[in-house]
Amino acid sequence: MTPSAIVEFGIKKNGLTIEMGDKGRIYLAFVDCPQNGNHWLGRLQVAHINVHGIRRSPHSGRPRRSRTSHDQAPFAFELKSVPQYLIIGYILLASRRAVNPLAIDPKARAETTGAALRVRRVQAADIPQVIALDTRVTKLAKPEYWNDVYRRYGKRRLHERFFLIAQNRLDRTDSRVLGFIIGEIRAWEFGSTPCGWVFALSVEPDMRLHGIGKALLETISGEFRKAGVNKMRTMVERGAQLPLLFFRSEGLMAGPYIQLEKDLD
Amino acid sequence: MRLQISTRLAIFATLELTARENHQLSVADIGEKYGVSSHHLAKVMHIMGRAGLVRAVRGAGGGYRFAGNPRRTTLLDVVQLFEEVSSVEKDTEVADATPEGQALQAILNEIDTIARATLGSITIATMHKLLNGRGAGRWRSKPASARGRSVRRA
Repeated sequence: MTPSAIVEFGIKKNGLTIEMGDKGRIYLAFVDCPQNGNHWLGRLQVAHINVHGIRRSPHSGRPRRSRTSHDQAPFAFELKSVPQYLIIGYILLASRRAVNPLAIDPKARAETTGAALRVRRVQAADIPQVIALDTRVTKLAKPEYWNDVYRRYGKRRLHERFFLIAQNRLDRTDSRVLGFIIGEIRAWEFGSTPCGWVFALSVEPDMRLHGIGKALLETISGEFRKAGVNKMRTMVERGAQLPLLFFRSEGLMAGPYIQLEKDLD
Repeated sequence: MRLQISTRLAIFATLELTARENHQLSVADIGEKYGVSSHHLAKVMHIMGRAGLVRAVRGAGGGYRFAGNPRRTTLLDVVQLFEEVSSVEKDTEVADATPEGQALQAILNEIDTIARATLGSITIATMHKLLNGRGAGRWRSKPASARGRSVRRA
């Protein structure tokens, strides 16, 4: 059966929280759930969910809201202190080993997978992965450049400089860098009022079209906005159709500047 | 840059057909909105059909459906079916061989390159985002008197 919704969830030692935003049915069942230490993080792919009957469970928690099978509104419920977890018929319970290595369903819509990502500031330990990702994408290793970029954009003037990376939020032991974005707020260059410049964006080639670039761009846009600017700019090579298509699809239009250059003989 | 009437109609028809998934429209439906004859629009749709961008649906209530992928089809894909985005003259004149002619052509080539990059970077899906997204209010219909003759051809 084809899952109709993808539900991210995390089971902590003392409870289970499921949140979803799709209609469906929940069929109640007891399922042994593997548990690793204090946390078990994974993803449920839910075919049909119906919240009817939650209260029948001897381990039932307190549903915050109970909905009918035809209700399309998002809902959530919690279970407290359950040694075995109440879960659901017609689900594929995906463990870390069972799902694809990055725990992001390639069939999932880009709009939904953005929620499976964690975007945070870069740390020194991430830089080797940033270098490796950039090398895979550009076929040119530039370790000195990236270390310098980290020193300038990952450690200084953080109120106006943003070096962000995206990681898999569903598995906190997965420390892989799936993509990164770098930008800063610049003012009065070329006569421009303060605006946010994005000068680097890269996404793991195998993970493109999963909403990673979109999540990174939206996050840095939010940071720019919080810092008080309302304009974002970037520059893309004319022939680089993939990034051009991406930025265009995110609403960026041609700006008021024309880039000029000349060969220096 | 000004697009030919057929090119503009092709883009408009594509936008209409992709406004909803599996949307099916007749040339009369589209023609009515843009004030163009069904005959002219049928020619445009025929060219798009040959290119595989639209598919004719026969029978009562028939019409056309978009057969491409709106997230992959760019404005350049549509434009190139009807006109060349290039200022290079096929019949070169004597003047083109002069330094002045070559310098002028270099500038025109620059404009062409920018035009191609722009048209090639906008997908049909992105056009719908522009139409429906934030700031969509700026694309309000003008009164018929202000539209002029840009598309009308009956």
